[in-house]
Amino acid sequence: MRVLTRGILQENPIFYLVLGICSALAVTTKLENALAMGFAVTFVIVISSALVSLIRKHIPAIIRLASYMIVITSLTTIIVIYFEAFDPAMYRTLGIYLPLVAINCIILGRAEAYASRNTIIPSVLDSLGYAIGYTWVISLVSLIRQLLGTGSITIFDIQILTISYFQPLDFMIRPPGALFTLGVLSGLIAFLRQRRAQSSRRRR
Amino acid sequence: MTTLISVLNVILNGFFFYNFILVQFLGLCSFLVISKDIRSSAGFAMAITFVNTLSAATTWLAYYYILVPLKIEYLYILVFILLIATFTQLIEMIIKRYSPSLQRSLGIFLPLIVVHCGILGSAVMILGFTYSFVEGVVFGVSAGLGVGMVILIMAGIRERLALVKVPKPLENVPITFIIASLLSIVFLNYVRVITF
Repeated sequence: MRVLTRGILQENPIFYLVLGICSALAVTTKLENALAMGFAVTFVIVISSALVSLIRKHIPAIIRLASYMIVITSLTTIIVIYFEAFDPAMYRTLGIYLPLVAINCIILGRAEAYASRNTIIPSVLDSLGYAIGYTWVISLVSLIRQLLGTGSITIFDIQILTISYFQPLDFMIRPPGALFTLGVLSGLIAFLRQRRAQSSRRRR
Repeated sequence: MTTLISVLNVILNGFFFYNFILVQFLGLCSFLVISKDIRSSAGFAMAITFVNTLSAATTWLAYYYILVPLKIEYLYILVFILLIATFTQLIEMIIKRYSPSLQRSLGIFLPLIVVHCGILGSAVMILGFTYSFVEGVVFGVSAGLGVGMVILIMAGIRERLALVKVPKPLENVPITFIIASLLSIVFLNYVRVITF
C-alpha cells in the first residue's frame, strides 16, 4: 500500500521531482485532453514497469537503459497507433506530445529506479501510483485552466459546470497560462509544506 | 523569391511561433536546471543548436530514405530515439578525442541533451509540417537557437533575481515558472505582430 501511495502524494512526479512537466503543461488546455494523456502515460508506465521487472535478470547492466528505452518506445508506438485508429480527433489535439510520452522522464525513471530492482507486483503498484500522481496533477491544472479560460467545464460533450458571471481569461488557455498555473500551484504546495514543517518543529 | 519567403517563414516558426520552451513546453526540465547561470547556459545553447541541427538532418533522411521505402513508418518513434541517442554518443566520443577544450564547454551538456524532449519533438514536428530537407535543417537550427536565446534571457533574469527578496514559498522553481509565463506572453504576441 505504501508503495502505491508514495507516487500519488509525497513523491508526486510533477510537484516534487519536477519530472515530465513538458507534456503536463502543453496538453492541459482541456480536462478531457488531460485525461487522455493520463491514460496514455498510465498504460505505458504500468506495462513497461511490469515488463522491465520481468526481464530484469536477463539484461546485462551495461545496456539496460537502451533496452528499457526500447520497451517504453514500443509501448508508446502502440498507444499512438491506438489513438490514431480509435480517436483521431484526440490524436490530432495531442499532436507531438503523444510520441513524446516515449521520453517522459517519469517512465524511464520508474523503470530504472524501481522496476529494475523489484518483483512484478510491487513494480506495477509503484508505477500505478506515479501514474495516478501524474494524472491528478495534470487534471487539476487543466481544470483550473479550462474553468478560468473558457468559463465552463465540458467533458466528452457533457457540461458539468459553468460560470456565467465572469469574463473568461483568454490568457489561461494559452501557453503562458500553463506556466503561470503550475508556478502558482507549486508555490502553494511549497507554502503548505513549509508551514507543516514549521508547526512540527514548534511541537517538538 | 517564394523559396526565400518559405525559408524565412520556417526560421520564424522555429525561433518564435513554435518556440520550444515558451510555446511548446519542450525541454523544461533542463531549462529549469541549466538557467541558473549564464556561462553554462551559453554552453548548453551551443550544444543544443548543434545537436538539433544534426538530428533534424539525420531523422529526415532516415524517415524518407529508410522508413518510407520499407513501409515501416509506424516505427518512427523507435528509430528516431535510437538514432538521436547513438549519434549524440558519437559526437561525445569525437569531441572527447579531438578537442578537450570543446569537451569542457560543450561536451558536458551532451548527455543532458539526449533526454531533451525538444530534439525528438522537432524531428516529429518536421514530419508534421512535411518540410523538405533544407527546410527541416533550417527549422532545426532556428529552433535550437530559439531555445538557446530563451535560456540565456532566463539565466540573465535569474542572476538578477539573486539580489531580490522572493517570498519563501516561491523560491527557485515556482518563481521561474512565473517569470517564464511572463516571457511567454511576449513570445506569443510575436505571432500577431509579424504576419505574412
